[in-house]
Amino acid sequence: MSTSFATSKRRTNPDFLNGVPELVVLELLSQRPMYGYELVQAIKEASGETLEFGEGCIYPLLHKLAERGDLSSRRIDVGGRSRVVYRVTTKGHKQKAQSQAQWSQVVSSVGRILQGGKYEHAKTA
Amino acid sequence: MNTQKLLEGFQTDLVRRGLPVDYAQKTAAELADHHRDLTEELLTSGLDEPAAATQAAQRLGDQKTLVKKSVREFQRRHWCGRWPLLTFLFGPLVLLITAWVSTYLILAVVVVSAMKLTGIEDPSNDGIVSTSEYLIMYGFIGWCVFVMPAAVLLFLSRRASRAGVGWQWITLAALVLAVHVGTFKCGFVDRFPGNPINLETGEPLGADMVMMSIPYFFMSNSLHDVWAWYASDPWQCCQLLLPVLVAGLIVWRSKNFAWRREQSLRAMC
Repeated sequence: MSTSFATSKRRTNPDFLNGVPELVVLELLSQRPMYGYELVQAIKEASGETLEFGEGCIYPLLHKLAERGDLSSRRIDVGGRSRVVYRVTTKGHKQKAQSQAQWSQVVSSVGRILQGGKYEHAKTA
Repeated sequence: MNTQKLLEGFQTDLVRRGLPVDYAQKTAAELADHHRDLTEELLTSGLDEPAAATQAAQRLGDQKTLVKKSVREFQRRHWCGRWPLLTFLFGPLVLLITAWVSTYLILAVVVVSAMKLTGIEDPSNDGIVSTSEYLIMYGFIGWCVFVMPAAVLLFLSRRASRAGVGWQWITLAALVLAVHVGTFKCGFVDRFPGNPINLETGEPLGADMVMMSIPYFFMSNSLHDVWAWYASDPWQCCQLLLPVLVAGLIVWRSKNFAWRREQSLRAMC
């Protein structure tokens, strides 16, 4: 998935977003099974339209996760049309929990640094 | 651009880049579904059909980016796709040396066991090289410097083809193998005029020996020496050229195969 902030012109991931699209997809699909278009809408809605990307780029990511066993896919009829619906597997749930823990750790560490954090205290002490 | 054409172009591009036909078809089918959903969404928002289709295609992303992303993600499923430089630059040497050592150990175990079991003594000690000894030794050398590099290259090309990795990497592996294999000079003393003397006694060595030599041009800075080493005789030239020829055949065959798959895909579309 090629994500970028809506305010930015660039269409590639900043490095610190590596792994984030996977986490977002796993989280949203763990709430309910979805097909590609539905998932893209869900990402936009859940992120308040902050994440913007070429929508077709979601499929390589979905295929990668399916190949890795984190997702399973089935072509079924939805709303009178046949679509490929993705759902999170047990392995995917475990992977999501792991990625979520890592992400929380990164966020809290960066937050501490941005707020002056422990390093500043250590220096002045 | 017409969406149908965009999706067909997308499919054929993926196949041309070495990805499996069923994967290309599956991805294109999903993109087509997505495009239909987007068009419907835009139609309900009040756009007319051509404008909706164009905007939907834009939101889907341009063909080049989609192909690039799909190929990259597909390649990343395989080790050689994730680490192509490591696989195709260093892999050939590691594989070749492993194959050489394994062959030597297996042969040594088999020959020594056979000699012990049958009670036959080492026939190479008589100072005379018989025709069968020539054949066996050249068979072994041929196996090491021709068959094994070709086998390593075939193995790597199969990995590359599975991962949809480009032909440039096969060419790199072939060049690495060619330079490496061409470095060895092996054979009986008659291939090494002036060389075969016993350094301790100064006497000529017997004719029943096989030499494997590292190139003296490592000690020289002259390009002429390099050229002289690799082009010294037909055997040496073959050592250098065989991996390159095998790679040429592999690349030609895979391109031909991709072209045929592309044509059949076009016919299906």
